[in-house]
Amino acid sequence: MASSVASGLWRAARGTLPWYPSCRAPFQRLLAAPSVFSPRPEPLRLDITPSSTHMRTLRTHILCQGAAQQEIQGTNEQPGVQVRVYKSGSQDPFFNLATEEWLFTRGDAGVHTLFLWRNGPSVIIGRFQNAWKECHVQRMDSEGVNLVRRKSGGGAVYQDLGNSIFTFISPKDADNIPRNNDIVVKALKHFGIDAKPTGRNDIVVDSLKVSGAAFKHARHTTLHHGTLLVDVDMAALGNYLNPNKAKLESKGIASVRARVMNLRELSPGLDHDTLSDALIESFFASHGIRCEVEMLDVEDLRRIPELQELEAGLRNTDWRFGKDPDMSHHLETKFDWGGIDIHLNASKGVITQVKVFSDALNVAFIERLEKGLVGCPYSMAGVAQLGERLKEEGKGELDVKNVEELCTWLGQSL
Amino acid sequence: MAQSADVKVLPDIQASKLKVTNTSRPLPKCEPEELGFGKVISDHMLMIQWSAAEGWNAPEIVPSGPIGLHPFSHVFHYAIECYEGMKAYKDSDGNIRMFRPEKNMERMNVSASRLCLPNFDGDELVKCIKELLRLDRDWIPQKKGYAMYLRPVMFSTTPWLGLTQCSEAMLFVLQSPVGPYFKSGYVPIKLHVDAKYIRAWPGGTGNVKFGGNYAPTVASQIAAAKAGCSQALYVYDKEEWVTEAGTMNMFFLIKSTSGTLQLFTPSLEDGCILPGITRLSVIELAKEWGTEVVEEPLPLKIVIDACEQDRCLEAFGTGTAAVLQPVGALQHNGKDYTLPEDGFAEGSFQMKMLAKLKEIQYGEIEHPWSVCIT
Repeated sequence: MASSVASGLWRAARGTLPWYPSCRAPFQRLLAAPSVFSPRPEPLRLDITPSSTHMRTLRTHILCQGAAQQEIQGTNEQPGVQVRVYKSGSQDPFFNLATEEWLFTRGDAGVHTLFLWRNGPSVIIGRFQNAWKECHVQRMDSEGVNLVRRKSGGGAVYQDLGNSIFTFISPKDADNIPRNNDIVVKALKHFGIDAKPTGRNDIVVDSLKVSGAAFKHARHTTLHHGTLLVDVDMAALGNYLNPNKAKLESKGIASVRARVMNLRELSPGLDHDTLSDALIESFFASHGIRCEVEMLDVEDLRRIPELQELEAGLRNTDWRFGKDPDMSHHLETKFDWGGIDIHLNASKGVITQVKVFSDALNVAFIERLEKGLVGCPYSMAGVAQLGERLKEEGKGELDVKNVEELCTWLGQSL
Repeated sequence: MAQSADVKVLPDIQASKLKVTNTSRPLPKCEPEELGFGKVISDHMLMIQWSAAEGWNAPEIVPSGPIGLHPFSHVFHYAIECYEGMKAYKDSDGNIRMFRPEKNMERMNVSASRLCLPNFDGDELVKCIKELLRLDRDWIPQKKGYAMYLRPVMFSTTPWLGLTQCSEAMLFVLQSPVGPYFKSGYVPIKLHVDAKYIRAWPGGTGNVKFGGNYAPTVASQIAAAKAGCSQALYVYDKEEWVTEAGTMNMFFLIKSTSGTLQLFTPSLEDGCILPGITRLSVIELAKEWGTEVVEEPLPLKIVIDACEQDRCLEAFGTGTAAVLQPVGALQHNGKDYTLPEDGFAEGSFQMKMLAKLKEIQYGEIEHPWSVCIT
C-alpha cells in the first residue's frame, strides 16, 4: 500500500510516531481485513511524502477501510491545466497565514490553486507597522483578539469569522487577476448579487466595497488574495484599531475605511460554507476542470517542519510586537504612498541605530532604507548620498520618485 | 487682466536647494589654545544671494575666501549691513549644539527690516547653518570654553551710487572657532563713563545689530583706554540713562535701601538697547531663580548711589563672545567706584549664572535652549 510505504518512510526519516495516529485504527483494520469495504469514506486527509521537500507530490488519499487507496493528483482531464482546491478548517490566523505562505512557496508552480479560509477575531498588521500605535494591544489581549503581523507591507486590517478569505495561486499570467475577479463575481451571482471589480483591488456592489485584495509575485507564480465581507462586525473594527489615527482622513493608505457592506445583507443564505461552495464551483467552471476539495487542519499540517517553522515565526512575540525602539530622535511624516516613522540614534554626526515603521507596500524599500541609514552621516549631504545609493542599488525594486521624496524630507528634518 | 492682483511671490531661502562645494584646499588648523577670538576662519562659509527681481537664490556652501563686489556696492558707501553673533558648541559626546538660534534669526530679520534689506525664513537659514556646522565639525574644538562662533551677515550689494532701497543683497554665514574670551580666569574690567559719546538715541538704530552702530564706538573705546579703562559705558541724556558697555548689555545687582536684592538692567522700550540673547537668557534664568529683576530705564545715578553706599554688589556685561564679563569698577567724572571683589568670585550671582549658562550651552543638562544637531 502506497500510504503505508509512505508513512513507513516518514517514520524512518523522522523516527517518530506514525503519521496519522487518528487513522491508526482504520489502518489496522485495513491491514487486518483487507476485504472489508467501508460504505462511507473517511474524511480526506493529506499525506506529505517526506522524500520530497517540494509539495509537488502532495497527494489526496481517500481512506476507506478495505478500498484500494487511490492517488489523485487532481482529476486532470486536460493535461494542460491543473487545479487544486484547499479549505481550511481552522480559525487560527497563524496557521492559516502560514499555510497560505507555504502553499505559495512550496506549491506546484504549474497548478492553479484556490485556498479558502477565515480567521477568528484578529488584527493583521503590515510588516513594518508599529503594533502599539496601530491597535489597542491591551484590549485585544484581554478580549482574545489575535495580533498577527504579516510579512508583506501595507496597513492594518481587522478580521473575524464574518470575513471569508480566498487565495488564488496561479502560474504567472497576465490574465490571472481579471479571471480571478470574474470567478468571485460569478460566485456572488449565484446568490443573486451583482458585483463588479473596480481597479485591481476592490469588488463592489452598488459602489459599496465587499472585497479588498492584495497581490504577491514570485518568479513563476502570482498570489492574489482577498477578503469577502460576509458578516463582519463593523463596530469591532473601531474597537481594536487605533481611532486616533489621522490617516483615517488621509488618502491612499491601506487602513482607510471605505464605504463597505456585508454580503449577508444582500443574501441571507450566504455564509462562509455556502460562499466557499459557490467559489469552488465557479473556480472549476472557469478552468474547465474539477478536482477533489482537500481539507487542511492544524493537526495534520503541524507535522510538516517547514510549515511549523513558518507558523512559529508568525506566532513569535518579538516578530508580532517588535521592541520599543527607545531612541533619541524621532522623525515622522506621511506621503501619498505611505506613512514613515523613523526612530534613530545618532552620535558625532553619524546615525548609529535605526528603526523604521511604515505602512508602505514596498517591503524592499523599507528594508533597504533601514539598512542604509545605519552609518549614514547625520546631515543633508549624507542623506542625499544615501538617496543616490538607494536609487542605484534598488533599481527596478524601488520607485525613484518615492526615494527622492523621502530623502528630501529626511534631509530637511534633521 | 488686473495687474494689481498679479503679485509675484518671490522665493524665500530654501534649505532643500542647498548646494555644497567642498573645499579642495583645506586651511591649516592650529591648536585650540592658539585660537583667541575671531582670528581664525574655518574651511567653509554659507553664501546666499538675493535680488529684488528673483528673490532668494539657492543657498550655497563654498570654501571660505575673498568676496568680489562692484565698487559701487552700497555696503561700502552707506554701510547698509546687519549682522549676528551666535555660537555652536561640542558637547562631551562630540555632538554639535546651537544656543537659541531662532532668536538670532528673529533679530536679524528685525535688523534687515530697519535697513530695508530683504527678510528671510529663519528656520530655513538655521537648516543651512546646521549643514554648514556639520561639514566643518572638525573645526569645532571639543573643550569646554571653546566654541564655533557664527557670524551671519547681510549687506546690500546694490551696484550704484544713488541711495535707494536695496535691489541686490548677499547673506553670508562665516564660522570662526574661538577660544575662551578670558585666557586666565575671569578678569574684571573697569568701565569709563563719558556722556560725550552717545552710542544710540531714541528713533535711531540702537536696537538693531547694524554695523554702522559700531563704527563710531572705536573712538570711544580708545578714549576709555586712554583713561585707563577697558571699555566705555554708554549713557545718554541729562539723566545719563545707562545703555550698554562696549558691545555688551549691562546688569547690576543692587541691594535696595530696605535690604532686598534686585537685578537691574535697562529696558528695551526706547529703542537704544540691543535686545541681547544672552541678556534675555540671564533675565529668564534670574526670574526662575526667584531673583527680582528690574527691567526699567536705568539712570546712572541709581548705580552711582548704590556704589557709594556699598549696595552695588555685582555688575556684569553680557554678550555672546564673553557670555558674562565681570565689571570691577566704574569711572565717572574722574571718580572711581570700585565694586566688592566677592562680586565676581566663586559663589557670586554672576558666577552661578555663568556656570548655568555654560551647562546649558554645552549640553550638560537637557534644556530646550540647546539644540543638538548631532
